[in-house]
Amino acid sequence: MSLSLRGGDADPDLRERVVDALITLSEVGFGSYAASLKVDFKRRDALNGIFASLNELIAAFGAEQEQSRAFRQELEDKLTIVEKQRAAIRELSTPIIELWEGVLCLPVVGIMDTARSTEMTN
Amino acid sequence: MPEPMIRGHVIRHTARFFRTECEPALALRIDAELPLDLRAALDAVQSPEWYPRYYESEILQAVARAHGDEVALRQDLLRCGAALAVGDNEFMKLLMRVLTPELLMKKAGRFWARDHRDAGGYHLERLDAEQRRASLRLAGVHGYSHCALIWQGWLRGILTEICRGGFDVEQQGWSWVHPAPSEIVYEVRWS
Repeated sequence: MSLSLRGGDADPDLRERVVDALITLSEVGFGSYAASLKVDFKRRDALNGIFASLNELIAAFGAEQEQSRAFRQELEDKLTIVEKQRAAIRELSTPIIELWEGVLCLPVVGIMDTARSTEMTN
Repeated sequence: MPEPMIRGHVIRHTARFFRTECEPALALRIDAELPLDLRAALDAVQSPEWYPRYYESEILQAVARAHGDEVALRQDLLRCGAALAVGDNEFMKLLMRVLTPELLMKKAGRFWARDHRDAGGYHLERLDAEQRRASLRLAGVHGYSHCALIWQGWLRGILTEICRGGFDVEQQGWSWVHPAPSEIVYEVRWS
């Protein structure tokens, strides 16, 4: 298609329609899937068919992107909860009780690993 | 009256351009000139979303304050606009293969509407295809400081891609002392 449109003698109407379509598609290139190509149903030509198909593709891709965004948000929310829970567990796993001034009591239950011993030392 | 809005990709491009394409010292000065709330908001700007146009305007004003000199500011804003024209948008690259200067003049308003909402627009005042010249009026941009140079650069960026011969784009309306006129006229010639 680009070859026939490159020459100065290309059909001006065809060129303008392709330019219009590509301007709209450039919106999609920026991530806006609300854009759609103008389909003139009075015309019965190949370009209209292509534009209609592209509109379906844009809509489908937009729906996929929306779903993916929702999944990503859900995952981020879950990660936030996991991080909060991890912090709570960390605090509970090394309780520090001040018995009297200068004397602390650290009850240790479970496995003692490097991370936990570092936490206790800190 | 609705607030003028601009697409996130324009803001992102402008912010990134001045952070990466300028000398580090100038980039730091520009960053320091940005209002704190805007500086914090910039990282969250999404390309397809709409944002108040003053975001872009504030960035351009910060760029101007950091430059403090008309010649250097003009050069950098033209470069920024030219880089914005095609960028890494694959459809824009395709478009460059079929766009002609005449069609660019006719469709300038559509490009503007793609990136701006309730924020003025281009009007084709005159198109002389035989003489290869046109006059575009950009109206409704009061308060959009220094946009005249960014969009002059944008026109130049597109023409660089599609013109086999030379071209020239001149603007009337903007000046160092009047950075935010309500109208700008672009006189475009190509060969």
